Amino acid sequence: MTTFLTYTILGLVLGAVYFIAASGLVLTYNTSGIFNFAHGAQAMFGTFLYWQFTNVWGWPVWLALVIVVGVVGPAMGAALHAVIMRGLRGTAEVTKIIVTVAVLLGTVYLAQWAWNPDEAYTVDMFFGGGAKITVAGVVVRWHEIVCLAAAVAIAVGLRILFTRSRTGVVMRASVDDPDLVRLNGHDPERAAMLAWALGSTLAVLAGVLIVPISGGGLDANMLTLLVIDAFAAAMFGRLRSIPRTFAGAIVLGLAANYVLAYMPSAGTFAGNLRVSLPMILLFVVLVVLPQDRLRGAAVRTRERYRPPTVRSAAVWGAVLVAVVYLYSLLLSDGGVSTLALGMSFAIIALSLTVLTGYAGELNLAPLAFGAVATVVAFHFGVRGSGLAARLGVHGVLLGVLAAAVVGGLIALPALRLRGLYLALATMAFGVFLSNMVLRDTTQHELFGVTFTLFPGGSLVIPPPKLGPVDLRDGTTFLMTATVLFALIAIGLAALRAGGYGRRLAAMKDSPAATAMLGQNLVRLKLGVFMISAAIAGLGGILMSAATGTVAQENFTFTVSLSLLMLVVVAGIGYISGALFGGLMAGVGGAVLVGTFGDLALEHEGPAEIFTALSHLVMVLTALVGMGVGKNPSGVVHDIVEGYRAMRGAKPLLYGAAAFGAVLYVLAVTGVIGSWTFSLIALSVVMLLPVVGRMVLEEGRKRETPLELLGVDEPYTDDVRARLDQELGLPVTSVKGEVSATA
Amino acid sequence: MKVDKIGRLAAGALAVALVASCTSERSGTALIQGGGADGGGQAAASAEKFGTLPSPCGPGDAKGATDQGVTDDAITIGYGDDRGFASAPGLSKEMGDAVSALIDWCNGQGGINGRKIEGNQYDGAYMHAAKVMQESCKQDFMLVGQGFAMDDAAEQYRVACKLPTVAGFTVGPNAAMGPMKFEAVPYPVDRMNIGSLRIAQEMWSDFDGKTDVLLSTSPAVTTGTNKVKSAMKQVGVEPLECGVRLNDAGESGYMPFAQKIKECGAGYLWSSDSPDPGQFSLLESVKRAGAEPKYLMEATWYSTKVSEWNKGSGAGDNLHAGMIFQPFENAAEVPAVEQYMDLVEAKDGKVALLGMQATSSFLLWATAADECGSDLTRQCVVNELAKIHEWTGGGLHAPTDPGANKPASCALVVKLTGEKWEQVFPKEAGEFSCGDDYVVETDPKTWGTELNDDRTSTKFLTDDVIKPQTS
Repeated sequence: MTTFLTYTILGLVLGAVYFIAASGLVLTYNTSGIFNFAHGAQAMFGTFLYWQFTNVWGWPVWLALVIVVGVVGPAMGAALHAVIMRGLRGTAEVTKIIVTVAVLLGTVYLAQWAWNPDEAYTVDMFFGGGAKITVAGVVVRWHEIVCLAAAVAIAVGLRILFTRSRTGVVMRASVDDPDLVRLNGHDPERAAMLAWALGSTLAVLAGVLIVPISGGGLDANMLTLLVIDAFAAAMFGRLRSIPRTFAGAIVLGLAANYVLAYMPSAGTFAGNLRVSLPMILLFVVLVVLPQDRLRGAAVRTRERYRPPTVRSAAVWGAVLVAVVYLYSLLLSDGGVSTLALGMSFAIIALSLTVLTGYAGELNLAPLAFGAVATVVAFHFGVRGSGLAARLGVHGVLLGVLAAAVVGGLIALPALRLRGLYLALATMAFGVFLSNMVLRDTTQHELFGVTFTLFPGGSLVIPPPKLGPVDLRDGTTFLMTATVLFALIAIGLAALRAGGYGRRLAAMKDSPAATAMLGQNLVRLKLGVFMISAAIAGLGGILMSAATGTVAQENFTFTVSLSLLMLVVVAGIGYISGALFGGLMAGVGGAVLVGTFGDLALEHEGPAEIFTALSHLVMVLTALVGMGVGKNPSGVVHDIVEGYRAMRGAKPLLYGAAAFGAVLYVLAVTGVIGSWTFSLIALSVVMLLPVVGRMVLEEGRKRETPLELLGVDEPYTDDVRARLDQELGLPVTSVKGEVSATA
Repeated sequence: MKVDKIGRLAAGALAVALVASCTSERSGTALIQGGGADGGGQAAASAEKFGTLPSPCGPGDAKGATDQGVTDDAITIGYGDDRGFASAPGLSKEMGDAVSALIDWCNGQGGINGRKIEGNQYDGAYMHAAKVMQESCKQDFMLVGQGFAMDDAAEQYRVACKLPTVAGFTVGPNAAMGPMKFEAVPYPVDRMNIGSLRIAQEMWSDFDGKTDVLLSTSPAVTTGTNKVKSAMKQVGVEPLECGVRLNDAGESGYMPFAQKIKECGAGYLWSSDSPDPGQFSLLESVKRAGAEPKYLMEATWYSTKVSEWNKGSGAGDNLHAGMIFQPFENAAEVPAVEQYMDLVEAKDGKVALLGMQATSSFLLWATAADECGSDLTRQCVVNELAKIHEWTGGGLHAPTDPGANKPASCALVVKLTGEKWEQVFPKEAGEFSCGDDYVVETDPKTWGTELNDDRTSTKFLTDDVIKPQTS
């Protein structure tokens, strides 16, 4: 009985922990319409500050608590809103998700920079670990009681805030209809800022309460993970209801403890299953709970994409292949294989272009499908042994097929889900797969066949051999991947331009209208999901082969998220966005960080500066993601528009092309290094539209529009006379009268 | 979010690589002297010696571009680590720091037979081991003292370009058993040093019946624990099976696990995991639950991170770690340790256990290269390396057999109290406890690769590799 009581109390405490984490999510979603993936990261950052105050600067606990919860939390939230979140109104769901993911990654990088992960950080309980009472033979610590009480207080407080207080109603209203709120004399931005400040405070409070309970060990990722486990609880309340979230959290906490206490959970399989429990529950809750109705009216978001014609896609595909080939001549062997890795990431990114860019559906775990394809290809496609081992065409095809089928199977229950719900369902699947399949190192016997899904925890993937094309050679690999990218891109352009593509676009704009026009939404979604999964599978196999040996870590959710983030930054509706985002995700960051790392190795004096720079690059990558709210269509969109405007400046374009050619010749002949070439070429491509605009504008004399007259400089009599004339008034200019009213 | 999971896997993999494993055919005496103990009275840093090892470096008149990376006056070697890994910045940084300090030390004496050593330092950054290997293939004479967590991904390139290596550590089974690979402190997949288990049996009479193994969901750690569990059964220890398998990405709470351990009555806990916040939280929770088991951990736990952490609540006061290296606390008794610390600290490098491992590997390579004299070829170095069957790195660690890829049959155990580590077995600091039964053969199922008759991994093996020639 004592055992049962002990586990029950531990379960309740864990449930309280989950609830405190989930409540912040519900609060921000309710009051700003944004599902904050960075909630856990905020909690982590606040807790690290708390640690810094108490352990390093020696502040008393109460002071540190007041400063962290009372000042840092609200300030962090208000700053987030002011700098980032307010810019997200009217953007697509994927943009909102990606911005918080960027905040999450940025915060984690920042924390790792500030607090060296090589050292240990422990946060003590409020009254020390020894302060406890015993109830019916069960030991309960005061800190745990504080935590339980805090959970109940937060639940009651939020419930009252949402339903009884004017502030809470304004907050909720500012999500539903900001214009109406404004008409009623409230400022929706102020309400949203308050909401973020509150949410962030809850996050920080959660961190300080939770970390000591779990044992005190603090690291940059732990809390973020814990909050993801709490997603299931938040979903149980459909991100709206506080009481249901509370119930969900308690059930989750108790279930986790009872499973541990009374079911065998130490076997590899059972252990993995136990770890996956929150994700399984999340998936089930998402699929089973009733959803919002289909959105009726088309909502115009701020993202704008210009679909390419098949002809231009083909031309640019050929250009890409040529450019990559010429560039590969400049690179070392290592550089070529790094670029090949980036190109395989770009193929995975294409799966996002078709799914999210064209069809408006979301997938947060594209790499999970890559993992499925890789595992299948490994088991059925490897021929030969030693260095002569190759991955046959049939293996690649089987892998791609398997990815497509799994994609369909996942999409099937998730078909009624949309937007955020679908995103979370794919995330749950990704984490589940990563836990269950990619850690499955034990032997199974099924239908008389003995097999191990992921022997030894890592798979050696030999280079593919596609007919006569042997991909062992780095350049062949790179060119094959590039050609495959170009072919898929052309195919996608054709698909987008055809009837199917228009149906996808219709579904993206308004699912209800599409259904009313007689389209079968289920078939559309299923189809596009399978296509996307197949592309991700192909990219995944290539990625694995380019890496050589892959483990669970190559396919994690974080890698998927940063890929998605960079593709959105580049422009998820563009094929070139997939290219840019994929290359950046696959190699860009690592190359930059590696370069600074190498510089730090070579120059002992300024080594610290270079190390700091390499940290900064990581944080900056995330900052770029945060800025996407300002420019939701992506970087590529801007560049393309810039070049479109330059069609008039032919001489400039020819000049730039000639300059590029000269530069390339210099690089090939070894006069300048490939790094210098890359940097100069990149700057030219980026700066040309800017220069072009300046050149173009020089030709025309700019005239101030009539309504802006008098803004920069005072009115003159001439101007007044002209205004009168334009407005059709009789000319009443009186000499000597000073315009005081103007 | 699992940003750091890769780092943990890497650390876990390192832990596995460091499983106190070894083997030796030498007949065991109950106690042999640690390599450095006899030099205890000497001043530490002598220019001609590293600990007890006569320095392989010095002036000479070697000439000729005898092989790739060798010229009249220079030998180019590659080395490095995963310090640029975004998820765990500074991963294994001590490897590169140690080799770079040792290169300077060696060049200060005139290089090897008069040829200066030029080092290409690489950053595998975890994900880019294969790329690094391709670069090294193009320019280096050999790879020396390096440690890349994903070395298995690089192995096919290394074998294909016939680049011999004296690795600092290896992680992947194919890399650990690869052709043309030597290590100062080998951890072959087919043998294991269970010295710390043997010592535990000697220290604690009830160890056999009251021990449990902590499990993890990490495949790398699982491989390690499986080996240890099967070894335990061989020596008569029956694990309690308390049923604790921790999520290596972190748990929401550790108290239920601590409760399980308490109910199960485990007096001793073995873990193959590496020290991370999750493990710390578990130990803390076990203490809160009122259980007081003794811990027997891998050598990875011997670190300042752990001792710093233990300053707080003292939840790790019963923590023991088995090692085949001399702990830094023995620097007064073992000049080699003192010398390693001095050399690396002089360059502001990171001093840690793996750094000594890289140091020993560099010395091993330099000793073999020195033997070759002017005619320095890869074939010659491989021949010389294959001849070395007793190696202590000047006293940094217990004797190993690098030539046959077999490690030591010795161990010592250190214990943590507060923030102090201290050798507790054998009693005399600086000495190792040794025995024939300190080494067991492992179950081929746990190897993770297939070996041929030469105990070489067949995964990437071709006929065209450099094999030792006996003349």
